[in-house]
Amino acid sequence: MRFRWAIIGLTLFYSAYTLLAPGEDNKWSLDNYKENIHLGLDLRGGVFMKLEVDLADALDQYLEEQAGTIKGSLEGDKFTVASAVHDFDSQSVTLHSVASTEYPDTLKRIKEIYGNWTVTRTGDNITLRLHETAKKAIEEGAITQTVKKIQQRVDELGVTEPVINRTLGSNRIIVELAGADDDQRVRQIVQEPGQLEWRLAVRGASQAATPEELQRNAGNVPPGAKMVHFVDEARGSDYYMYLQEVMLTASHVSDVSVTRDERGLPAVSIVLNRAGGQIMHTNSGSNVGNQLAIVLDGIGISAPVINSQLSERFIIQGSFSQQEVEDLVIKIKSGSLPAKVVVLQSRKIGPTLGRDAIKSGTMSAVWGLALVVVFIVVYYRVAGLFALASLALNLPLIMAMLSGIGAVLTLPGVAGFILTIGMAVDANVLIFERIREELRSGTMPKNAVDVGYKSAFVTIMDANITTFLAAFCLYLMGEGPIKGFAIMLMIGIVCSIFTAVFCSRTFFLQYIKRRSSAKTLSIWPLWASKSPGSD
Amino acid sequence: MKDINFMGSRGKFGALSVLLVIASLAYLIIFGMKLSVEFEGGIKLTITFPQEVAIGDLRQRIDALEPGSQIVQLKREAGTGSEFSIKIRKSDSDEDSHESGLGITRLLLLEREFAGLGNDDADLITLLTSITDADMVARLSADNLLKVNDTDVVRNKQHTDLVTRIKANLAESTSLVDLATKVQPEGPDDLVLGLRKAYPAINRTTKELFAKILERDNPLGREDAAYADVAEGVMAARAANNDFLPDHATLLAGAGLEATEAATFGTYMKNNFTIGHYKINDNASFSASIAAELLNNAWTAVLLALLGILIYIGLRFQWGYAAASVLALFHDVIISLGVFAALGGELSNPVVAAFLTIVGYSLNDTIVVFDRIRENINHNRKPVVVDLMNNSINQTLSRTVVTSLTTFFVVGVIFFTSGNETLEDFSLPLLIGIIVGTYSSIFVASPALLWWSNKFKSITVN
Repeated sequence: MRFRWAIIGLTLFYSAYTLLAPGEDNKWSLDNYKENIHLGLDLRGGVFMKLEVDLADALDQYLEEQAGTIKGSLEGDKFTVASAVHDFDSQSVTLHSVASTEYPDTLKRIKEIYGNWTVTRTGDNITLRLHETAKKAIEEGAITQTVKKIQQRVDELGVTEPVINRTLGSNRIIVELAGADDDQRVRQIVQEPGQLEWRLAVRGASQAATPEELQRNAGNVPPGAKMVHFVDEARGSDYYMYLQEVMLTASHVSDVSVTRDERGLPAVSIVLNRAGGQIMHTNSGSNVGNQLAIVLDGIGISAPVINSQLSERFIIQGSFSQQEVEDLVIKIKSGSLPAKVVVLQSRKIGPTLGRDAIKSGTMSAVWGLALVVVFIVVYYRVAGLFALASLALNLPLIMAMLSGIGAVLTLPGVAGFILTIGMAVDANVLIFERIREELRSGTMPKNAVDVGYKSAFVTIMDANITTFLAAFCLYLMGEGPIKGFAIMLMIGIVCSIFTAVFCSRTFFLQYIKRRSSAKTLSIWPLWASKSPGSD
Repeated sequence: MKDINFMGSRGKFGALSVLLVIASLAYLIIFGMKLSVEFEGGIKLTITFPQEVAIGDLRQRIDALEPGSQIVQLKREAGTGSEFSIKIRKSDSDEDSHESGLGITRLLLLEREFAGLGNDDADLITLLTSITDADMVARLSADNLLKVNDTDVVRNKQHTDLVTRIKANLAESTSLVDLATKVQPEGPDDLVLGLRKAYPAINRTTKELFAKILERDNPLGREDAAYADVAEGVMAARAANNDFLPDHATLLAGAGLEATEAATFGTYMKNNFTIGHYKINDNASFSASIAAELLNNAWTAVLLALLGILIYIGLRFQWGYAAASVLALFHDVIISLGVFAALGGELSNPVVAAFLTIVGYSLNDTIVVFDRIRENINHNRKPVVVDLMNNSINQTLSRTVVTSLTTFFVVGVIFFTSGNETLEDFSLPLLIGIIVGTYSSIFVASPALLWWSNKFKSITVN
């Protein structure tokens, strides 16, 4: 007995602790439950979006880049290639009229260089088809990069606790912004291609550690010059430079990749498109010795020195480690989204909607509970009170478990909670009906209670496991708010089995103990006038 | 207590059930079930006005832009304004049907109509007319509305040009969209969104964002730039006014500032915020492709649940019990679906969840009876199955009735009193399901089990 009460006490303590534990302010108060029960977006208000990274577009963009790059690098390797055409359907690049004076076996040489591709020859034409594994890697990269990019951009919105998650193993991204109110702007932000700029440095205004110092040193800065903050996390350097107006943007860059310079050190290879190449050609000639800065979303990421006149293809070299080069490539590439982003689903929930829903939900719960209370007490008398006591235990316990496992309360969850109130008494009803039957057949109250609980237990488990299974399937396949309903139902089932089977039995045992000699039990109002066993 | 002979009338009830199932199936096949926006693709807006708006007015305005949209007036207490739900299905002919929502342009045009019912656009145009060019340049330039990625000098210059064009067109413009089209024919949507962001409507702003704007602008020159108290006060005043501040005076009273500060704050609010006479409470949009996928998931969930339950009962009891309970389950789900569809219900996510709950609930009832049948069989040497079944149903009858009643009470309370759409969507199928489920656990499940027992394998044999 004592053991039973201890467990009930512990449960109560756990519930109270979980619900009322103070947050950062370290103050205990009854109001803490508001912070400890995490509300879902549908009750808090905010913007929800489900995005999809268009993988076909990612591959398309990649193949398009590759067609140019492959042709270019083969030509650099003493090949002649008439043209390179990419075909999206077959995921391949076809090189027309390939010939080489250097390599008698062109096919063999190309196979050596392009390990990621399946290379075949028909006549003078060579076709490179993307390997399945390489394709996966490109898609994977596109998704990761998009998530990262959206994270950066959403940070600018200034929303507290933004949630940006990739749905595991898919090309879907979930964005949840509590408290945001402008879904159109969020849509714009996540779909906008990025801001990558290439700007020449202002000559004579060398870099400095602080803006003030730079201003002092620079002297006359031409109008239109922009001070840019450079942050190189890898090297821990942090400086300011004056830059001229934008020379190239992300739209001019067709490929960025890791390569090696003539000394065999890691370097970044840049391929511009035709227009970009022309701009580069005109501007770099007069700027040999000057720095060309790469600015990503307003922050400088690198400012290499121009060594000679450049055009479409060039490399950025320096004493880079392989890792640094890879990071730089990712940064330059992330200037634009690697693929189109499609908004599959979006929802904006106003701040008052959830408040009203909680209000009306609470009212419904109170009324529903009141009805159940009246009914149960009238029908089961004292035993009904035990059922209600266990129901009363049930409610904080469900909320505490919800908060304890870090699940959120959603609007369908509220419905699930109210439903649980109705269903939670079921286990008690099963037990009480059994006890009544035993009493009717003349069993002594104490034994009747024992038998009632024991035989009802199997039924309770069977009946609840099936509901649990249904809820679990809903949890697996449902999403967002509906998951909240499924979780609530599952928690509700577990809690009500515990309170009905364990707690209400404890109350019963305590009651019987006091009246161990009693011949009747107040559970039997409908036939109370008759003596037990007369039926 | 005399036993009621349920099993004796199994023929009549069996016929009734078959009839009901056939009727439901026929209804579902002929008329089908309406699908909600989430399962069909399209958008659903819930919009609230502080004043009484006649549904005809709204319909007229919306029909011109989005023919075929559904508009329903939602229940609201008298004197608390009006609320509507607007559904616009996305047809396949829409461009880019892969994308959810209407696209910014169409949505902005819709909002123009909502704004027309209050005086929202007029308010904003008045605000823009009254403030100085310099203030407007400062504001728009700080927001970088034109997305100028250049020096402050260049950015300022471009925004000054923009403000000059805006000011020149203000007098002739009737709506924001109209103004934007004149000022910036290429990309008017960006201008509308930009102006709305720069001069938000207080009735459409969240408390968090309002506090943030105040912190950014620091209109009272507070040392810590903390305005949580002001934001709290204004939002409390808004809540007290049915979530709509009627004018700047009420707003100012709510802010709870002293006279000197109040004057400064009042001017700041007048120059930076409009009031806002409508708000979109809920805006959900689903692309057609995800709609199909969601519907698919819903079916998978239901089938998975059925399969899992079948296996569980098969293992715990015998396959006969499993078959009978799944039959009872189909009976319950099909009749509930039929009745729900006939009552004009729409299939949505909450409804699917409710149906899965019916699956669990109806089984719950059935299993209690089956459990008793099994127990009675084990306790009897030479059982007569029909009598045993009848005994078992009678023994569990009061439990069945009590549980159904309590659950029915509670769900009924949600349905009749909550006044919340989602909660109502949940509770209607549940109410139907509880009735049908209770009926089937008494009149369908056991006869089905008996039929199986006679036909395939007697349940008295282990």
